[in-house]
Amino acid sequence: MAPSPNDTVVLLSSDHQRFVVEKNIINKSIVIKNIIEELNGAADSDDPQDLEGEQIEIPVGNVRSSVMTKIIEWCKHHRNTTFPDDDFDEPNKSTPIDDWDKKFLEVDQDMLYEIILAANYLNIQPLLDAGCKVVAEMIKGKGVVEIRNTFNIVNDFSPEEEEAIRKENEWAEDR
Amino acid sequence: INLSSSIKPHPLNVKPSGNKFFLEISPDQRYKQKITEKRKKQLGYLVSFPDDLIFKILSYVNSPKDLLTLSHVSKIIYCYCSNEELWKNIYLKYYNSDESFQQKFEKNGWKGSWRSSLLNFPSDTHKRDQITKFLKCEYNLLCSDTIFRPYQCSQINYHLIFEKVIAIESLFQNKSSSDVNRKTTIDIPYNQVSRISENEMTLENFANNWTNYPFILVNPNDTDRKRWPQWEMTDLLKRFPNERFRQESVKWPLDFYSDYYRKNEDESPLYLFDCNSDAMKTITKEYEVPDCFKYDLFQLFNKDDIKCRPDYRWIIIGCKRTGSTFHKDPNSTSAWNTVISGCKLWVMLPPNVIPPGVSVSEDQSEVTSPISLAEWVLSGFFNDILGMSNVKENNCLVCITFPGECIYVPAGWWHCVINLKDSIALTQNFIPKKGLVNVFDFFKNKKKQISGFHFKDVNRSIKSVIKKNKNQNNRRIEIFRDYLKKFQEIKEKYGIDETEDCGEQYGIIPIPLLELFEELLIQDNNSKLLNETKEELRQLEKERYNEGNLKVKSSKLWDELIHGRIENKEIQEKDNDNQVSNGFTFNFDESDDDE
Repeated sequence: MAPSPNDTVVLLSSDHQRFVVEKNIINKSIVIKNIIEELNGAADSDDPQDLEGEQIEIPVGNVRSSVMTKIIEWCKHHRNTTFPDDDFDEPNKSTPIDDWDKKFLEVDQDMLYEIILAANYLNIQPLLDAGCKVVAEMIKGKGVVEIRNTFNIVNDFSPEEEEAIRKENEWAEDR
Repeated sequence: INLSSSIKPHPLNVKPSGNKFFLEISPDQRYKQKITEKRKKQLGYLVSFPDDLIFKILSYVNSPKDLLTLSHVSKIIYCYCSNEELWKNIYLKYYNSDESFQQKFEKNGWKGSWRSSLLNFPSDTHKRDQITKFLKCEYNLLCSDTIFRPYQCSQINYHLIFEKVIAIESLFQNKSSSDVNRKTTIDIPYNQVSRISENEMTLENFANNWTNYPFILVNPNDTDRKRWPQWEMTDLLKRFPNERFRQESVKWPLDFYSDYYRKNEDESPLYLFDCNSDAMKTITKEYEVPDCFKYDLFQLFNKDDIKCRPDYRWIIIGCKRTGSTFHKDPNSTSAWNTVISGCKLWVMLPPNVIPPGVSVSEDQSEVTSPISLAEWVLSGFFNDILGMSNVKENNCLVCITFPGECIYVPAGWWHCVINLKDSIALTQNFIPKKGLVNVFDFFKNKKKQISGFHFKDVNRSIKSVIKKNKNQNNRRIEIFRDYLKKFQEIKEKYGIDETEDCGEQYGIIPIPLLELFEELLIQDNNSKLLNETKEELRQLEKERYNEGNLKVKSSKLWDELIHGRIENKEIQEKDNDNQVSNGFTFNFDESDDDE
């Protein structure tokens, strides 16, 4: 059964693409969820006829359409997932990344960072967590040079600074 | 108070976030460009990431070696990785996960910071300073409150900030308020806590006049301070060097903690708050509870076969800057607290005044202080308190307690405490005679917030009560039997950790503590007090109910009426619902089954 216009919203990406999504899918984004609730609230108290049959359009000015597609894909997959309450987020520091999420985030680095930033902007905590964990995985167990290469960081330490760092490594190895 | 105290620059020259704007408006285009380029080089793809995202990523890099390596990638990343919170979390995780780490860390000792301790850097701070000197950031290269603010808070100078309060309170130190007031006329910009001589505060005076209002017990004639022990950290260290007192999430031996206590630069240093160490068995014998506080109804939970009283007496040791953010004491108990050495600043608010800078859920079951004590002071909330205390009826109180002074914290009062100096204190929670009604109210109406009781002990105590009343079948005994039966069922079905605090498991099964308390009072031949207290509670609930009716509450129904969106029929229905949900009983009698 096709969702009725009342159950969907339109997201406008930065490159002016229109994405029609079901409300109960995109409500994984706390920001969008709040906007919808706010607008519904406003519609209720004013003239209810006003928004009847009309779709809500939400511009998401800093998310490109290719990223938006990914975000919606993620929300669709997790439409029935209930995530643990964020308040008790300490224990899930150590929980490994969900397998599906891991696969989902096997994208080129540009895309990965854009997904993280979009998840941050739209407030989708579980996706943000997964994204940050993937980046952390790219750091773990690597050497300095490897990490620089991964993140395109240029070594601009002066000789004195290099010396200071060498010293720290020496101390740490003594332990 | 004066908040414009100047502050040393961050050791790595990290600036507050606001400095970004200086850079943006800088007329020196070349410098601006240079910094922008440097940032790009040093952060690579991460250059567009906000601080909180970078820290989120770093918090998942949870091995010391990985974090160290990462820090050596570039200077900006070195600064991000210098954040002590990251290292502290790893330290605590390792410390609490494996005994071998615990031993290793303790052998290494405290090295001045969580990072240095975890990496076992040389103790010589000079050597470490050499390193930071070389790795300093260029001006405004990194502007980040997330790094700067904890540093700023760790450098807080309470002596300067509270200069005036300290000066005023020192005048009153260990003197009775009335004596000082007669001699001096000073302008005191806050509401003080009265100081009363211990020999004037009889049990009767306390019960009749002071149970619900804070005061400080002093002993003006005790010039050599014999009334209370006179321990400094060095004395305790000599006596209990290896004793493992509890310091929040760690249990370092005292000599380790004392090292930390002297050298740490944490924003909120770990606070020693201990009740169960072996040393406490000795310590509790070395002081005498003030007479007016000796009457303690909570003792009934720790008498003969009944052994289920929550922990109630503590030794508290903390370096300056430690303390407690706003809270109410558990189970609606009252408390006294005597400073043995050092000094403590107290801010106290009556039960109905919500403290500024703290978020409290509607039923007050959840209290969160989003910011540390230092940040609370630096962001001006203390000044808000002073503003509030100008309104007389608010009764916001501020005071400092000095060695030998014993402050009384009435049940339900909000308070926060800051150690202005390295301090040692003794404290006990108790239930004064006139405070019983508060506890009854709490046990009856705030069941979800009960804490400190353990199923194992409570169940054993309840069994012994049942045994004693073998041949009787009153309502309470029945409730106890039902409870034990239910407990057994749930235990078999879901498994319950009986040693755990009942507060953690409230949802599973509520303990009939009110009934237990009633029964214990009767056994103690205190039926008179029991009946009086029940009557008091009935009155209290009645008042509360009336108040609730007078108060204009925002109601959904009202809002909907305003917007004229409901049909009359619906209104009637909703009205009926409301009446039902407002139904309220004051009955305490046998038929009352609000379990």
